[in-house]
Amino acid sequence: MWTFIFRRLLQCIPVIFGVALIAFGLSEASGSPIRGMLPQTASPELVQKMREYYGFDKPASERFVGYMGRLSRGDLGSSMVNHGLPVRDMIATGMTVTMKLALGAMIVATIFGGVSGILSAWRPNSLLDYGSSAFAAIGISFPAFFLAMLLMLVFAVKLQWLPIGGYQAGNVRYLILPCLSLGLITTASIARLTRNCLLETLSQDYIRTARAKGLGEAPVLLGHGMPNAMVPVVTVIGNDFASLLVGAVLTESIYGLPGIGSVIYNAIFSRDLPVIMGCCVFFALVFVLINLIVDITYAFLDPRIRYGN
Amino acid sequence: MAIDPASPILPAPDAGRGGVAEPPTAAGSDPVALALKRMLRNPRTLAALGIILMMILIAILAGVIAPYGYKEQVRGFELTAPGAKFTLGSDKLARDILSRIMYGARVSLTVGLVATALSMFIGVNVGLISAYFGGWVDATMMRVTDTFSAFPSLMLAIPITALFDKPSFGIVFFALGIVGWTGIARIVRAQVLTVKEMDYVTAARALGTTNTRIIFRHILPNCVSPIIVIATLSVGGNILAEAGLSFLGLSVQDPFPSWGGMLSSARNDFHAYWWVVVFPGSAIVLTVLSINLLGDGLRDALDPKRSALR
Repeated sequence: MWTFIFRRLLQCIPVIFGVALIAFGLSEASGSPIRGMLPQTASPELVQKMREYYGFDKPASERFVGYMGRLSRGDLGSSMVNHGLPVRDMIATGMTVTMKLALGAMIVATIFGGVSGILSAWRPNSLLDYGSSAFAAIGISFPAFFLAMLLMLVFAVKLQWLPIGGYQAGNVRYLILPCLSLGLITTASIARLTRNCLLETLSQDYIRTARAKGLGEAPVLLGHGMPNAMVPVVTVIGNDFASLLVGAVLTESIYGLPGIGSVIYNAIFSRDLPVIMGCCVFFALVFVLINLIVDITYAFLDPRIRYGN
Repeated sequence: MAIDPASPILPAPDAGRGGVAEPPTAAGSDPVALALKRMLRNPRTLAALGIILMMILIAILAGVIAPYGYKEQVRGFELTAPGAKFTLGSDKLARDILSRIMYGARVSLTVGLVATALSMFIGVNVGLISAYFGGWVDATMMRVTDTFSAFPSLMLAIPITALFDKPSFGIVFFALGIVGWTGIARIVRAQVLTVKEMDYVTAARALGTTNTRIIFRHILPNCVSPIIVIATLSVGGNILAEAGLSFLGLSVQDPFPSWGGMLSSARNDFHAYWWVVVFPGSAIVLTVLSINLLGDGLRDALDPKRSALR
């Protein structure tokens, strides 16, 4: 197990390096920030002085080393709009909201997806199976922000059960609709994967044995089938968590939640490039971390992967 | 967009316990023709194909069949409900929503197709070269692939498009194309790794065939089925991604309509005027759903083993 974890950790290094390289390339392409810092009328000498002060006269390779250094200290640059607020701080504030949203959505998705997947696998090709498959097919074709708008129209405008938007720390009511709209989208992929994996597991010999010895349907499905079927589902849940974060970017602004999504949304509209780049690099690093955790969990659940190759 | 090739969206008609594969018919007939026949027997796939063809026709003929121009404003009819004057209502600038949806189909379909073509081109080449040459070439290319797939979908397309003050078609193609190639690269690589061990490849090599010829004449044709399926599904993924980018204002700019952009510009009005979001949003869902169903149909048709397995 430890060798596996070690090997997997080593694999992360080139990826993190590559992510940093892409991020550096993007921030280079976004132009030198000096222009934005000085008034239009600044003399060329002043611009030159500033360039030297911030190290922009150095070769790209040297600046990349500096960028890596800052990145490793968690320094993602600072906003060009919000009085030079560090991007790190904006992310930290935003994440408190986005994490709640993503976790809530994940719970919604796992419950709905798991239950509908198990029911479909229990009675394949039944009306229930077709219903939940159709639901899954529509779910993966739905833009998260469109579902967000529809749910808002129904539950906040028409029925007036829930607030129409905004956020109060500690008040769950403001999170219900955002979690539902993000969660329902993700439900689709979890449902169809649970169904397919469970169906495959149920065709195994040991399931027949369990049935033959007279075990009821529930223990067969949940006790014998699910533990094995869950293994691939874990990977998808990890991937889904990443897409939830992306979905959050598109839905938060609709509900007026002050998470990372709104940070990025506002940054796009004020052309605050360092903030956009910083958030995207942050997401990429989170994604690398999630994949790492998923792979380790996977190996933990399935010994064949641990000892393989 | 990440697409998991192992998980079809809908069960095949004969899926499930006791599902039996179709027995091979008329041994020796063209497998592609057989696959197409199988596909067209499935009413769901047929319906999906019909909707896609309709959307393509609408996109091409938008200039002829749209009742209004896409930026034509009918003063005094701002936010009019669907009815006789505007079939699907009008937006806050008194523009006909139906006409804008029709013109918007151009954006969605073109971006979907071109971005997919670009990412397929990159992905297929990377996968082929990586698997065929192996060794350090493979290792390097796969690390690059890992790096690109480390960015969760839009998170790389957003900063790329945000670099430009006025994002245009070309930039969106590029951004989505450069993001979406990693999945296909991995699949082609896996496929080539299996195929290149086959006896006929060894035979070709023994005859002195060049690498290029082996790759393109002997290996690639055997990877076509998965490529077709993934390409189809990724058109849908790219349409969704473009809608997301438009929603963030990072795609074609108003007044030219895109479905995501229509939702975005209606974000302050939709509480009171539902039609400004419901129809453009439904256009996205209907199109992407049809493409996904077609992709599933293609998968089942091209690989009968799959539908038998499940």
